[in-house]
Amino acid sequence: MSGKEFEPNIVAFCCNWCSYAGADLAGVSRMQYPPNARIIRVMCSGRVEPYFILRALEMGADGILIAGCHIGDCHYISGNVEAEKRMESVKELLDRLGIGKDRMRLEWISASEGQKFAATMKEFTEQIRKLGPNPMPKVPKATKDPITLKQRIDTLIEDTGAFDCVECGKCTTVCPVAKYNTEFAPRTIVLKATEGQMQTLSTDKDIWTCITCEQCNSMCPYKVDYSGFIRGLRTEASSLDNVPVCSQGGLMQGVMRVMAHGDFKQNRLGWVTDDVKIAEKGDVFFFTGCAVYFDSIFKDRELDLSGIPQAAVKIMNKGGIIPVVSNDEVCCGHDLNWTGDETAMQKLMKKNLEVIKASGAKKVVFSCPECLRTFDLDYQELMGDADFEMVHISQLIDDLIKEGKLKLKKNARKLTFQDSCRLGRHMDIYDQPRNALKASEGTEIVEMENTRDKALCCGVSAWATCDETSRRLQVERLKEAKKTGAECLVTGCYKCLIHLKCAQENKTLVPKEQIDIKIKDLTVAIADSLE
Amino acid sequence: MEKAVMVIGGGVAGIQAALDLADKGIIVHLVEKTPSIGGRMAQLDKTFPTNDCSICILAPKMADCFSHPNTNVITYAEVIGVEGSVGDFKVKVLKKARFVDESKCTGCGECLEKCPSKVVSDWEMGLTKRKAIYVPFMQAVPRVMTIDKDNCLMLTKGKCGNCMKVCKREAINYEMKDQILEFEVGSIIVATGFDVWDPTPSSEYGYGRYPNVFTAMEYERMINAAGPTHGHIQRRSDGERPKKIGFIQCVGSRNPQVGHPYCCSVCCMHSTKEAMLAKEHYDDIESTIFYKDMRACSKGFYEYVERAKRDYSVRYINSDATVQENPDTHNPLVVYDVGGRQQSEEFDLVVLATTLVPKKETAELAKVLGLKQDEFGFLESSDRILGPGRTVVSGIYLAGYCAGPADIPESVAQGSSAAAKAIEALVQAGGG
Repeated sequence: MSGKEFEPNIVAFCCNWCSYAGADLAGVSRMQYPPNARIIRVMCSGRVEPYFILRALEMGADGILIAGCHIGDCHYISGNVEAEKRMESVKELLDRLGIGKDRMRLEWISASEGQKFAATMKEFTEQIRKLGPNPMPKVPKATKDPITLKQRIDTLIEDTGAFDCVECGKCTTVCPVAKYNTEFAPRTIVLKATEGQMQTLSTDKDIWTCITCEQCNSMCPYKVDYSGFIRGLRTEASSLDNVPVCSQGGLMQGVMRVMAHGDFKQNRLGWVTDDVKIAEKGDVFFFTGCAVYFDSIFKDRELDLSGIPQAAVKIMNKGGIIPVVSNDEVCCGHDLNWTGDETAMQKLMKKNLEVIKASGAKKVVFSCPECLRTFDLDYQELMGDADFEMVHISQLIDDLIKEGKLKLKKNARKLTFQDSCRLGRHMDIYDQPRNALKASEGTEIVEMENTRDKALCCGVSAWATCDETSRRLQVERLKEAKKTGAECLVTGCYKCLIHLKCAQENKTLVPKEQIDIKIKDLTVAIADSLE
Repeated sequence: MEKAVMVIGGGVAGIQAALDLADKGIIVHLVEKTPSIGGRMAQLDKTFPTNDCSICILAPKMADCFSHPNTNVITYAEVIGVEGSVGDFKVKVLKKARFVDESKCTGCGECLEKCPSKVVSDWEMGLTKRKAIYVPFMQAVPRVMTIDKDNCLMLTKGKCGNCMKVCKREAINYEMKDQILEFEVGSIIVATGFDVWDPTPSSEYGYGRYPNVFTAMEYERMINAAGPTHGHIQRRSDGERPKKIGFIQCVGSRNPQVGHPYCCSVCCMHSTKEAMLAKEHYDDIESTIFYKDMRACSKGFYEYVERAKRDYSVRYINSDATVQENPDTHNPLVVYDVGGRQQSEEFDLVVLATTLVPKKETAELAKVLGLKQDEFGFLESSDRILGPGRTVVSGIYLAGYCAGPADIPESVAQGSSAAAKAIEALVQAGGG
């Protein structure tokens, strides 16, 4: 850039029925406006998914303009209303990520407003010029490993014990996906690899169908690590660019990649209110996870995920702990790792380890089971000299109660607990969440039919695939929860909460009353009993 | 050559070893933990691959073994200490008080009728109850009563005494004490057998949770004419006779996840047998066997399986399976895999071929005898290839399932083999 003046690169998404024609009018009317925009015609401003914006930023755009019909003029009646809602959430997301909401703009420009189009372009170009270039660095493509695909898959087979598969089919019998998706079975994927059909594997859609819930792992007589195998194959597939469109259009992975590769000052501590005490340095570090980002992304849903870290800190405060909470914490990389982007995960890992080291913490507390799992099982190799204990918030609470440092008030309620796959089967934590809930007198826990290591999955993991099968699994789980007669379903994982609530909010094949049960996060449910 | 031999365990392997030795003029002390010899074979209904009645072929051997002039059968007793070495072992045996004088009791059974306390019967796999004074099964040897001291009203609370009142032979003695006996023997044969694995922890099979899921041993008792249902197969939920039975193989075996990586070596065959028996009892029963691999590899075994398919229309499906339940009918729902496609099918009753595991006392016994356990928990031979049945302690030999998976004929052969080795030890120790 040195010497030359910075020329912004702008991507403009224009609605076919208004703004695109407006741009056309500006052109034929010979109006002058900066040539910095690349116009992409879309059929409606409502077609612009949040992911488009993030992806454009990731690919080097300095600014993004979305132009649609004036409210009330939408060719599809309400597309622009939807667009407005979405862009609000994207603006918040960009703010929290530290990119800043000023890099995007939503404008209503009709077909007759050539002038407005030209004026908007001028103004926006100047705005972006002032902001300077997009600080998001270009992500270099991962260099291909010199060893062959066959060698890599052989290593994977070795590491996951895939050769031990005796094709007994037990994995299929317990696989929640295989129950509804008759084309899927964990063992067939492993079989293809061990029989040497390598080339087709990385394009096989089945490797993305798996929800990596590890039901198969926990049941396999020969302890074959099917989920690990699938994760390895996903890495291979992603190195060949064979990644399908993930749920939410891949927005989640986009957000996480920005955190991995970018160097932004985030604004993730909006939830830290006056009544919670946090520190900058101390023995205990509280890793909050991506709750605030999910809140922005699902702005129109009443999830209040930021309430989870808030509840966690309140509980810790009550137990005499003032935890370190850092604005520089980044995503743990779980979702990227499980959708084939190991490189980004490792970058995130390094950043997180630095932040934790700087805090001087001896213990890291997690309220998100996915973060805990990733730190505990996937960070191990790169931990280096970082030395800290890792616990789930429920383990900490259970300990605090046992040591007499924390007391919960009486709370007469009947709950049922959803063991999330990461907390349960991956981390083997079953009793502590239950103990922590039951620590308040009067709280009764009733178990669902499939519980603990047999617990049914919420249907989606790592935002990889969300389909018909996911929905059926969610409905089945909700039916089980409803059947227990509990007043509230307590979920062990942020994602379970998001997914199970999604099933309740949308159309399903069963009557609403069969699945209608209050859902609450574990930490929030425990905090309800704080004195 | 006057030294005696001790046989620990009165199952078919121990009985065979004792008979072989006794026939050669050697004194045998046979120590059996339960009130009767006979072991697991006595519990089975039929034997494969001939479908002979199990107790019918075993009972004569039990009687021979007991009444042989050269045998000393000590039932309801345990080995608690061993000292010395080959040719000169001193064995301490704890003879538990059975509160019935073995020399007086005739097993007439009058006491049974009058005993008021009922206890779950281990012998019948918990399917029925027995009295606190009992004889485990009709053909028990010795046919004498035993009082279960944990459940006898007289022994626990000092009330009752019915059995003593009705016993015309005055065999009941509430004052009886445990005794410690000591024997000098030249060699020892260990034939302690196996335990049946409890599948409750592997909740994917629903055993204990779904009433109509049975273990194979329960099924053996149920289909046995002398068993708790007099040979009728009955569902636990409603007592109805099933028309469709599913047999699931390798439940707990070939499963390092639950800690039993070995093949139990008998369930392919016994499930085939059990499916045949179902058909013999009721012509309209349809049986399906879910198997991992068909391991029917002894003489006539594969033909036996073929016969089950051809003559008894038993259906074989190559898949492991898990069980769910239809809550309305309590029908077990077997979920299985065909070519990587999940399938499920409803059955009236499911039988789990649970694996057979080293007896839970093995570690303790190994310590007493100075033996080693292998990676599966069975007693280890000194050389798996060329010295099966020999152990690291010279003069102590193994026979039957305690050394590793074996079926009945193999256990019998091992019994004889151990007997021959025991004689060899006596000859060498006695200087020929």
